[in-house]
Amino acid sequence: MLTKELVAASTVPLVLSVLTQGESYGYELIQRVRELSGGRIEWTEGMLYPVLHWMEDEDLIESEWREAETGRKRKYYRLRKEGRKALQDEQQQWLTVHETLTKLWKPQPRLT
Amino acid sequence: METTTSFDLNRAIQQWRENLAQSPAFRSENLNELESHLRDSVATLQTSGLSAEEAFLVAANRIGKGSALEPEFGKVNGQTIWLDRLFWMLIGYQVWGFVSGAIGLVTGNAFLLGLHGVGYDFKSHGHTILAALFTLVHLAGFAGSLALCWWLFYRKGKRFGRWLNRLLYRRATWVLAFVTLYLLSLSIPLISGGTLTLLITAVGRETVGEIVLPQSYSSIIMHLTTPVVFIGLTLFLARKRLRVSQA
Repeated sequence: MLTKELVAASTVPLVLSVLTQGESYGYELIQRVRELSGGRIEWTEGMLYPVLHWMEDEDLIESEWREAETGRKRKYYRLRKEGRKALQDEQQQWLTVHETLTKLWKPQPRLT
Repeated sequence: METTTSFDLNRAIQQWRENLAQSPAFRSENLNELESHLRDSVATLQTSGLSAEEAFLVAANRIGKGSALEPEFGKVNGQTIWLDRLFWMLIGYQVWGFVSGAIGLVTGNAFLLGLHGVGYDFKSHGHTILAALFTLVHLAGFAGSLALCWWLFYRKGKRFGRWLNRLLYRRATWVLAFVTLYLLSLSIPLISGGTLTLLITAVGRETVGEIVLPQSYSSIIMHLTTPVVFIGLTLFLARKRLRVSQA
C-alpha cells in the first residue's frame, strides 16, 4: 500500500498515463490502476472524482456524458493537449526520482 | 428471474442519492457520476453471484459514507458551497421577514383594537406610555418570530428541509411555489392596509392621528434594535457552518 502522500502525488500522472491509452470513466480508472498495480494501488471514489474535476478545471482533461453499451449514461474523460504536456513534465520528474533512487539502492562496489 | 425479496434496487439507489444530496458539497453532476459509478459497481458484483441487495450494500459501502466524501468534494466545489450558503441565508431572511412582519402586524393591531375595546382614551394619556407599550408588544412579537423560525429550522429542520428539497426538484411545483410566495408577500401589505382601515372606522379619524405618532416612535426603536440581533445571529450561524465544513 502507498502512503497517503504518495497516492496524492501520483494520482495525476497515473490518470494522465491511463488516458493516453484512450478515454475512460471513473469506475474503469480505479479498476485499471488496481489491476496494473497488482492490487497495491487502491483508489477511493472520494479521492479520485474531486481530482478528476480539478484536472478538468485545469484543462488537462475534458469530459463528456455519453450513453454506454449498457444503455446507461457515463461520464467519459479524455486527454487534452495540455494534459499531454503536463504528462511529459511529470514523466521527467518521476524518472529523475526513480533513477536517483535506483542508483542509490544498487549494491555498491566495495573499494577495499 | 428476479429474486423474491422485495428489494428495489432503483429505490435504494434513489434513497442513497437523496442522502448525499443533503450536503451542498455535491453538485447534481457529481451525484450523477457517483450514481453511475455505484451502478457499475453493483453490476460487476452481481455478475460474481451476489444478489441485488447484497451487491448494493457492498458497492455503497465501498464508495463510502457522505461524511467521508463530503470534505473531498467540498474542496473542489467551494464556490457552490458559498452559493448554497447565500441561498439559505436569503431564504432564511425572507422567512424571518415574513414571519416577523406578520406577527408584528397581528400583535400590534390586536393590541390597538384591544385597547380601544377596553375603552382606553388615546387622546388624554400622552405619547410616551403608548409608545412604550407599542415597543413592548413589538419586542414580544419579535421574540416570538425568532422562536418560531428557530423551531421551524432546528426542531423541524430536517423534515422541513427534506420536504423543501423534494418539492424544488419537481418542475411542476415551481409555478405553484411562485404563486404561493407571491400571495404570501402580498399578504403583509394587505393585512396592514386592511387593519388600518378597520382602525379608522373603529376609533375615528382624529384618534388615529394620536395613535400613529407613538406607533411610529416604536417603529423607529424597533428598526434600530432588531437588525443588530439579526446580523449577529447570521454571523454566528455562518461561523458555525464554516467550522463544520473545515473539520
